[in-house]
Amino acid sequence: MFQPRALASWKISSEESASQSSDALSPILSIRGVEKTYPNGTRALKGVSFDVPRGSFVAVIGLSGSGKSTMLRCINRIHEPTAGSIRFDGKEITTLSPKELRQARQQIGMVFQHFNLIKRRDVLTNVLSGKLGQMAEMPFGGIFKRWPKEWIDEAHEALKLVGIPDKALVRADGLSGGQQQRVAIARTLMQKPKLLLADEPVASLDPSTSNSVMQYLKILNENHGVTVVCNLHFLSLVREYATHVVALRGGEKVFEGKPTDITPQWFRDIYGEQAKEVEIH
Amino acid sequence: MRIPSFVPLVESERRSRERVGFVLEILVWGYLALVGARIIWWDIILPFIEGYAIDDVPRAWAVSIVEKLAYDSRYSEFSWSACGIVFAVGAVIGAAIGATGRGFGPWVASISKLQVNNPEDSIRIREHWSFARKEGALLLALTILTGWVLTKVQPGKMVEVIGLQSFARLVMQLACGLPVIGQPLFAVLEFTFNGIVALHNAVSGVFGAAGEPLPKFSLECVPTDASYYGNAVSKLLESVYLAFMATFFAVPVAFVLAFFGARNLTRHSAITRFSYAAVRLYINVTRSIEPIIWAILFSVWIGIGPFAGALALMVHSVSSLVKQYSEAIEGVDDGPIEALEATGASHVAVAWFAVVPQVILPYLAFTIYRWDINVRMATIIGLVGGGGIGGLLIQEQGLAHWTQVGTLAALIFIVVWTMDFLSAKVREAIQ
Repeated sequence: MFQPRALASWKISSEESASQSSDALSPILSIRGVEKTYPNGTRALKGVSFDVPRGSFVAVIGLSGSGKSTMLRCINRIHEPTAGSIRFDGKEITTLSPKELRQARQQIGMVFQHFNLIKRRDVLTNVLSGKLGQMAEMPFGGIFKRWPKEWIDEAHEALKLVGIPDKALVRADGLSGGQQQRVAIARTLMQKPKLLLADEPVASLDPSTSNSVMQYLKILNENHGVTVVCNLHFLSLVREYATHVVALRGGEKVFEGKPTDITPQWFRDIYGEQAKEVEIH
Repeated sequence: MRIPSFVPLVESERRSRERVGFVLEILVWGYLALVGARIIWWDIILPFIEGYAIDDVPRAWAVSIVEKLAYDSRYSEFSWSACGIVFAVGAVIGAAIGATGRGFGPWVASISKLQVNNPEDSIRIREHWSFARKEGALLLALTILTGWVLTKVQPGKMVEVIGLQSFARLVMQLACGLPVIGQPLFAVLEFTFNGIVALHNAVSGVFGAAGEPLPKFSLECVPTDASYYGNAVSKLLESVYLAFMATFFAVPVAFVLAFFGARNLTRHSAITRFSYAAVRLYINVTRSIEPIIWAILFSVWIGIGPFAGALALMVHSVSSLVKQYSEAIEGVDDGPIEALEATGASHVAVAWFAVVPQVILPYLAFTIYRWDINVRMATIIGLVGGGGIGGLLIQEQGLAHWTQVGTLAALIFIVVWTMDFLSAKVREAIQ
């Protein structure tokens, strides 16, 4: 259950990341024909397919309402996809039982636009809650169990990694936006995820804080071998951080390729004729 | 029954909304017809005509109408079959109006959260529902009229001299029972009321009204005996502790049940959806049975006394708290729930770590308020053998010891006011 290896030097090796059913070269995430229709009849996704190679940093771009967030939430089934197939690490996600789904989710971290921290609890508890998946099968979901000492040490280490070791005992709502997002990254670090889903992680942050948060995602991606799928709004960030780009428009994939392949024509196709690129540094 | 396409609706629901609107329209006009016939015609117009028919100088037209209808306000009854016929007539009118898609029913059925994007559409929508708004106003007016007739509102009764005299006498006796300020307050009231009587006599003398002048109030204030307070206070404390026990033991039960009674936490499986329905059914049934009925049930079961009262209040508190708690849960921010679900945490852990921290403050406020309510209700519970000060109150009231009733009311007031003060302080402190 607990891996005593220090968090700082933790890295998913290519052998470890590939489970028995798949080899190191196969994509870690393979999405085929995913559809999502909300109960009110909105068709958010109309058959989206793409692959996420191991160790890549995939940016998903598109206008608000293009289905980016829905796509991300379908991957770990926070929203149930209506149709299609999602294979993560060789396993079909869409047909997992609740218990298997919880186990799969332990390997998929997630950070959100609004950080989604437990505001009235201290930072340490927030970081530790990343470990809740491992307690899921205990009686009462482990809510009556104390956090093991190792986990607490690990949480402090995670906070050190994201540069806010001194904030451990501060209430989460007392932190700035950038710091809250770093707590959220520390929380997902506790999961030691193979895949990280980031839903517009910098959309509510100022430009310089945005860059520092993106840096931490990059460190996770490059130093720890975590594959990242990230919804982004700013193409400058996409060009700087992403290795692959998927563009959605009206629930359909309109582009897939390298960031360098986005030409002005593609840009207009994705964002509409009227759009003009805004720079963020 | 078509609702026009410029009215914003979720398209998949348009047909069902149209049907609901049509049915509502039929019900609305059935109701209007029933109210029109039963209240306006039967309770207002017919008695008015009858008044002319049985006047000292009967009017021929009124007599002929009353005879033709064989109406007599003392014996005639509005039969159920007449109700049915009137309702059916109204329903036919409703169906005709409903078919145009312009009535109050379709209007209510089409209200949705969807926005109108085109400004011209919003003007068209306003025009389209202009009839529906008038119909709504008519509905409200007739309902107020019905309420007026059914509650037998008679403002004239409020200024009748005999009623006012009795009221004043009772108020003075109650005031006399108040601790410390009782006697001075009694003196002030006596002086004021006698002043009003003198004024009344003077004015009616000037206008030469018939009848005797009103007598002055000649009551004596015998304040409550000091030894009476000992018994009253001990009974009052019994009520306070009874309320505390009921609240204290209701909280953990309500705390657990609330999670099963919150919509947003019970969507994910058939079992939890069933638990939602079951909890809602339970709290609605137990809440709609008044605590006073519960107190009777429990005092028959385990005997008259404070324990029965505490159990009655507890049953009621559990369901009221579950309702408030679960509504607080339904109002929480989804973000942390999503975040913890994404880590693979179990449902229990999600509820504990993501929901509880968000609801703990409202819970505390609701709980203190519930204790406050229970203290007040504990006095009522005592009326039916639930122990505490209520038993004493009903006893004194039965013996027409109004001074003692005043004393007890003052004691209850002191406790309620203290509770209110404390709960305000606590709520301030836990912001």
